Amino acid sequence: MEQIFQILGFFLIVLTLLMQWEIYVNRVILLFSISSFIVALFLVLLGTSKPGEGTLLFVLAGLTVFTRGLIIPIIMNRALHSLYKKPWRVREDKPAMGVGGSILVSLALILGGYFIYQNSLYEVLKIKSGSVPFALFLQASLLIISRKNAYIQMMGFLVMENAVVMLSGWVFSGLPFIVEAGAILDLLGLVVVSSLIIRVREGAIMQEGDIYEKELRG
Amino acid sequence: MLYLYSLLEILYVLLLAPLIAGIQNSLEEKFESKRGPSIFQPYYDLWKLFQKESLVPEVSSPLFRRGPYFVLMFYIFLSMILPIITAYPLPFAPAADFVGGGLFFGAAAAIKKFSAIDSRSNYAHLGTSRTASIGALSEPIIVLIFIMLGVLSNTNNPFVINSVLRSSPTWYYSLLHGFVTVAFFLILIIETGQLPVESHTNGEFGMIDQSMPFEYTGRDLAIYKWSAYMKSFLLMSVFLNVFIVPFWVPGEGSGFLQIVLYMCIHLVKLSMLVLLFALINTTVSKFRLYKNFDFIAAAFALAFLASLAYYVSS
Repeated sequence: MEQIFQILGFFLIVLTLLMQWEIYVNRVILLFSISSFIVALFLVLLGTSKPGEGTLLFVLAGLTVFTRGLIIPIIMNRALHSLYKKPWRVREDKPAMGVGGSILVSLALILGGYFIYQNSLYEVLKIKSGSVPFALFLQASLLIISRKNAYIQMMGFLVMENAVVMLSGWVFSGLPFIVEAGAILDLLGLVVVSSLIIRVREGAIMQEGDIYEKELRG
Repeated sequence: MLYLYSLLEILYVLLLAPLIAGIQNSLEEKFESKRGPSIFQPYYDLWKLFQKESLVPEVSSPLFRRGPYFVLMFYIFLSMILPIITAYPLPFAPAADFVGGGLFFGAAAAIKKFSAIDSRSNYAHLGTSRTASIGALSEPIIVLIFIMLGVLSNTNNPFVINSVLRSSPTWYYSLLHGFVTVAFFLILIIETGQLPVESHTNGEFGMIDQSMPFEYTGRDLAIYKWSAYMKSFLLMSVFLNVFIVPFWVPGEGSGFLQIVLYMCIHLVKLSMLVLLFALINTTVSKFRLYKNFDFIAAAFALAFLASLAYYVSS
């Protein structure tokens, strides 16, 4: 079972690398949806291996599929469709870092995550693969930093949340369930609010130009 | 008898390498709903070129003419030391391990580049510069892949790696092996000039390898092309026999008939691989030249993740 967890964890890392490769927003949303389904699969498998906490983990997996795998991507796609005439062409125009560079930095962060985990939490938890969520967390933060498109930055934040869900299910499984489920439901509200803000912001920029964007930034 | 198998291996690679290229070309045309050339077209092309006169640029040195023959010689040597038709080392195999084999591939590529530069053609220079830029980044990845295979098998011997992967499902289905295999596949795409890295047109913007032999003609060009077919054949064989399908390769003590039977199986394996390449070549569009470096970064990322996967799972 440990090997399957590792495969799923590394698959998530590869998906996040693919997000860094992609510039089209709708594809990044799709990749996020796939990664959420993998997190849910991970929680289901974890539930089968921990009979005591199985039910809670299954409910958490169901919530993950419903909110992160389906509802959030659908809301974000609808926001894209309502704002742009050709939503499939919405893309990151000027990333702060090229694809090759961001992949290399991402690898450095993965390595950093591994060493941080090995020298801190590993001593307590003794789960070697626990470094995978750490690596995912750092990769997602890079996605936020290296992109300027608000949608992709939002996706980066959601990938971060995926890493937290994975970590909480795997490493801190003793946490009260309400905290985990609550975090996921809060996230849905956050996405709705963020989508509205993004729509207003992008709409204002499209109407008024870059000067208005500077004003919005403060 | 083992020397006879070595000879058989050389003849197998030498004679059937153009066939695999012919199968791929034919498949690609058929996927595009065209009639396509015969699978034996590379043989006809080679025959035609061997009948033609070789012209040499006045300004070139003797290296220009000798280069393709040296390259062919290297690939013939590599045919003897790599696991192509047997899973056990034949008499010349101890001459080089995986890293040594990589060095021979590198030496052949270097001679190709020197001979291309020696033609003093601008196009050959352009191709050499681009090939060298890509090679400088892709070759360290090959080294990293070999190091990870060394971790897996505690050796750099391709025959031992084949044996470990055949006999150990734990290693075969490990993350390390998965990442290394995909990384090598990406490198194979680069080294054999498939899309999305390289298209086989003469458009200046996309030309990489195909602009290097621009000044070659006649028999010299035939030898150059033949060695290119052999290089693809050898790399694809390594990918199949060592990385992805290490099964059914005849082990020690197997007879002549078993080896001949495996040669047929190996041809089927190669045909499956070129079918995949043909599918990729007819469905994927070419990257811009500078996007190729992102492709290399992806290959590096996978090879790097293989090493991390080893540490996480060990």
